[in-house]
This record gives sequence, C-alpha cells and structure tokens, in this order.
Amino acid sequence: MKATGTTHTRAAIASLIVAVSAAACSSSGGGGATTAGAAKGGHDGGVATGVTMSALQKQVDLSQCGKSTRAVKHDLGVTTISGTPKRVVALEFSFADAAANAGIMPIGIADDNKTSKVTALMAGITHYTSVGLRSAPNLASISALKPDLIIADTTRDAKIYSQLKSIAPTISEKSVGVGYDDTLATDLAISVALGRCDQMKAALAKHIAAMGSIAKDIPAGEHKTFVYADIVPPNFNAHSADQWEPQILATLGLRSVLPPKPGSRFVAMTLESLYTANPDVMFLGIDGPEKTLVDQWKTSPVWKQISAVKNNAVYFVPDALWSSERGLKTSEVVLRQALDHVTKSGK
Amino acid sequence: MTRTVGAVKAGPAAAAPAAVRKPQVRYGASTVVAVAALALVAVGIGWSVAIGPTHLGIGTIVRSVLVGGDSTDAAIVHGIRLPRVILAALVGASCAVAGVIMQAVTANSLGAPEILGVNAGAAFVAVASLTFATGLSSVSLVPLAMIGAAICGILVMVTAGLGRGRTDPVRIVLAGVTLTTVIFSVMQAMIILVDPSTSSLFHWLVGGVNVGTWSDSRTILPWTVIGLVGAMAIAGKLNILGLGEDLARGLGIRVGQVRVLGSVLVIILAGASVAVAGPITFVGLVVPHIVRKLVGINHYVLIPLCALVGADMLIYADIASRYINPPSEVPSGVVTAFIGAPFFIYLARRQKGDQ
Repeated sequence: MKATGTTHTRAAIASLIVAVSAAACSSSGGGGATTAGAAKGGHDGGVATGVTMSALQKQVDLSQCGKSTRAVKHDLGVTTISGTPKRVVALEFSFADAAANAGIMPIGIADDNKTSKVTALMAGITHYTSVGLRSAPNLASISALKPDLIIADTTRDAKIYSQLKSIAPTISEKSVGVGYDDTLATDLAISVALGRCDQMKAALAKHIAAMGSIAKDIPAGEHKTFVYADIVPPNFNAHSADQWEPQILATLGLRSVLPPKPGSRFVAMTLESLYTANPDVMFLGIDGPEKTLVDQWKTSPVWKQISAVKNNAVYFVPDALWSSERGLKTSEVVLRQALDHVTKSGK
Repeated sequence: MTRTVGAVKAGPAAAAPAAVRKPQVRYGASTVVAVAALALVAVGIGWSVAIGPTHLGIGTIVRSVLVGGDSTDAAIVHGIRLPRVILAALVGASCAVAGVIMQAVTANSLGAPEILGVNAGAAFVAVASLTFATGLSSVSLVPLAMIGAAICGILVMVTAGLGRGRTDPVRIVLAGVTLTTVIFSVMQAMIILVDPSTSSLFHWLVGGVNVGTWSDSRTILPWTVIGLVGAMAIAGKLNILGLGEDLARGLGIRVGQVRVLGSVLVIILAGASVAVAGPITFVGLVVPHIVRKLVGINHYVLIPLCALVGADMLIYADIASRYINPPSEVPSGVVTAFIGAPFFIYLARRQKGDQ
C-alpha cells in the first residue's frame, strides 16, 4: 500500500501539533503564570501602603450606590442590575466572601469540588451548591440555580462571559493574582452590583480596624526579609511583592525578597535562587502532609545556609487558608498567624 | 528490494542479496563528529555549571567540580548545578538512542518514542501512580513508567498492524499520534479534576531536568547503560534490517525477534527517561536524522554518536531554558519542542519531495 506524500505530511504535522500543544499547555500552567495582578498605587517591597476606606472609595465608582437600577461597570463591560440580587453565584472564593460580608449568602460557589475550601471563616457561609471548578465552572449547574447575579473572575471566565450573561446578569472582576488592597477594592465594587454599598463599607471599616488592631502588636523596627511560596511539587512558586500574601505580610514591616511583578503571579524559584535571595523568614504554603520539594532540599547543605533556616524561621502554613480564600476574616487570621510566627522567632 | 514509503533510506549496494555489503562507515566524518560532540558535551557541562543566580568565580567552579569541598559554593556547584547537567546528558543520550532504535525497527523516519505513544504511555502511568500513591520516588516510578511505555507501544503496533506483513509507516504514526493525543487529554483531565489550582502534574505533560538530583542520575544510569549496550549488541542486525524486511529475512535475520529486542530497549530507555525527567520531546526524532546525515547509516557508529549528540541537545536546551525568561525557567522539554518542530516540518516536507 502506497501512502501519498500529502497524507504523510499531514500525519507529521498532526504529531507535531500534539507535541507542541502539550508543551504549550505545560508552560502556561507552570511557573510564571500569566495572570494580570497589577498593583494599583506604589508599593515597595519593604513597607506596605496603608489601606484606608477613603482610598478604597476613590478606587471604586460608587456613583451607582443607592440606585434601584444600577449600571455597574466591570472588567468586561457594563451590566444593568435592578433591585437587590438574592440568588448570587460566585465563581471565586473571595467573591463569595464579599457577597456574604455584604449580607447576601451566595447560593452557588465554584469551589473546585472541595467543600473543605469554604471554611467557617468565610462570613458564615454554610449552605451553597457547588458549581464545579474555578477553572471550568459547570454552566448547567449554574443555570439550574436560576441565579439573578453571577460574579465571574476576569482571568478565568472571560472566555465564557457571553454564556454566563445569557444565564443571568454577570459582572466580572479580577481575583487571581490580585493584591490585598485590590481585593478589598473589588469587594467594594461587588457591593455596588449587590446594591449593598453601606453594608460593605461597614464590613470593610470593621475589617480595616481589626487589621489595625492586630498591627499594633507588631514590634517596632521590624524589617526582616521574607518569601511566601506555594510548594507545588516539583515547583517552589514564590509570590512577588504585589500579590495578596506578601502585601499582608508587608503590613508587619517585613520586606519581600521579590519585587512587584505585574502580569505574573509567581516566580518559580530553585534552591540556588532561594539561597541567593536569602530570606530571613519563609512562609511556605502546603496542601497536605505529602512530601514536597522542600523535603528534598532539606538534605542539601545549601538549604542550611539560608538565613531563614539558620534562624528557625521556616513556617509551613495551610495553602487553602493563606492562598485560596482571601476573604476579610481570613486576612485577619493570616495576619495574626504571621505575627505569631514572627514574634515567636523573637529576633 | 521492496521499499517502504517513509522508511529510513537503505544504504548503497543493496541491489541484490548476493551483493549485500555492510553499510559504509565514514571513518573521517565519524571521528570528527565524535570529537565535536564530546567537546560540546564538555563545553556544555562547563557552561551549565557556570550559570546561576549565585555568582561564582571560574576557579571556585573548577575546584568544586574536580575536588568538591565543604563550602556553600562547592555545595551549589556539586549539589545543584552539576547533577542537573549530568542528568540532562543521560536523559538526552537515552532519548536519542531510543529514537534511533525505534526508527530502525519500525523502518519509519518519523519513529520516535514521543511520536509513537511510548513517552505518553510512560508519563500517564507515572501520573496515575503519583495520583494514587503520592511520594513515590523516581526509582519506584521507573518500572511503572516502563509498563506504561510497553502497553502503549504494543497498542500502537497492534493498531498499525505491525507484525502482520508489511506495515504502512503512516499508519504507525497516525496510531501513535492518536494514542498520544488521547493520553494527554486524559492527563489534562486528571490535572484539572484532581489538582486544578496547582501545577504539580504539568511536569508530566512536558519534561525538564531543572530539579535534577544525583539520585535521579543514579536511577537512570544503569538503564542507559543497559540500553546502550543492548543497542550495540543488535546494531549489526539493525543494519541489515535497514536494507528491507525481505532482504533481512533472506539473510537469515529473524525480523520479529529483532523488532521485539529493539522494542524492549526502547521501553527501557524511554521509561527510565520519563520517570526521572518527564516526557522530553523531539530529541529521539531529531538527533538520529542529524547524525545519519553526517555519518551514514551504520548503526555501530550511529548509536554511540546519537547518544553523544542527544546529550548535547538536551544540555544546551537546558542552558537555553535559563536564558529565556529569567529568573523563571522554561522547562527544557519546551525548548526541545521549539528546536525540533521546524526540523520535523522540514523532514515531512522532504519526504513528500522524495515521493
């Protein structure tokens, strides 16, 4: 049987597409992910910009607050919303927390099929229906809930925005790769869509006061360097200074070893680059008791030379709490946990 | 002589059984290529060890490589940079030799573990094993990856009808591509469903050596040696097989047996490589063609030179991976894909032109 050259070429090109697609999928999912997390305002790695209600209110268009029918501007356009939505579906944890803090318990959350990720810290959310993965929400499940508002994540859900819009009025904000101050601004923006501006302002004011109260316990003159990283074998994904966790930690006066890096969530560090950065404190988010890359690094003499290791200042923290939720109460708990660790190291 | 479309070209003087000669050895070219490849390996090791976030002087590096020492600088060179490049050399060599064997036994110039589903099968079983039994070491993964490589290799061969008379090489490639696509789709589904917010399993979609350790090198080394020695043991038979199946049978070669032996060696080499470094693409496809162009088709020369050039390819791909997007590192498997892709298109178009 004689094959034609064209068929042979097509076979070759098909296998080429398979190989390069796999490479592209991997590189887009690995270190150096591409989400935009531009920090507004100036941040240097050392001292956090204080978040105030007045600053937040300047960041967000509150002109529609108090109106029965609101034209809400968001990342993917303008959505008209009437009344107070009661059946809210949130496609990110921080959005679910925002809705709950504004007094509207979401009926559906994209929880990655893991109810354990929605903890008691999330403003009393107890009953909801899972609508699947954050990366691929189940449109049928969302539709079945008959929502009157969907809060989508711009980074993940832009491609399905038109389908979401056909189910219910949909607003889209960034959650992935967004810093702490921008997360609060997003919460305020969501409250405009919900028609609950005053409730959210009160919740944010209470939260800012609570953070300030914790911050009073920060020792004066704290200026140790730190790194926060998610340990995802085989990667050590360190978060740049403008990401959520580093901004919380900067509240303590700690300085990130990584500069802000808008457009990239994290930097995949090697043991050598970690040694070169030489943080005084390390906060490492892990998902469970399984062995990680760090267990392998611990056997290296290079690991033992890092300041944080020498200072006994390597802290393993729960990844779900420190990275996933990003709610108001969660922020307070994370700050308190970080403060306890840092003051316990006593240096 | 019956000539299979897309087959690796037979050597000269293959016109009649009575006049069969061994494929010519171009001694001059082979020597030059061997020396150049060895020199490039040495330069590549030096370059790879010299680059990194910590600035180290040349003297420190040389001392650390040759003598070792207790300092942190020596630990960086000896414990982080050197194992990485050694692993790159071993994996590159294994992939290239697997490719040259596969092209010979399938008589298909597009034959390579990454094209014919072998790497995908190995990676799939590795992923599945790690999903259900986290914390498996690379030593434990090797036999599992080999099982996956074997199952998928057999599936492709059965689907393509290899062993039942003459096999259309396009059918083999199509079967391999189809199976690879299915497997990678299943793996992506597993990644999404099991571990959606983390990248731990992405390593198994495209490989890399950036976290290579001495343990990984110790894991793959015996398998690389077995594969190389085994390949040299059947090199003569592969030479004759390259003249065509009918002629090989006429000369008393048990074609089926050679194919089985060759396939076992491919499974060993590919399985071990995937277990320690994930599925590295295009080394197994590209390197045999480059070396064949330079030194001819005698497998006694082709196999060891493919090992050297394969080592070169992955060493330099790993070096390049550190320059593309610093301080992040692109997986070296991505770099080999971008090197190999244009060559792959050229190869396919050249074969179309030949026909």
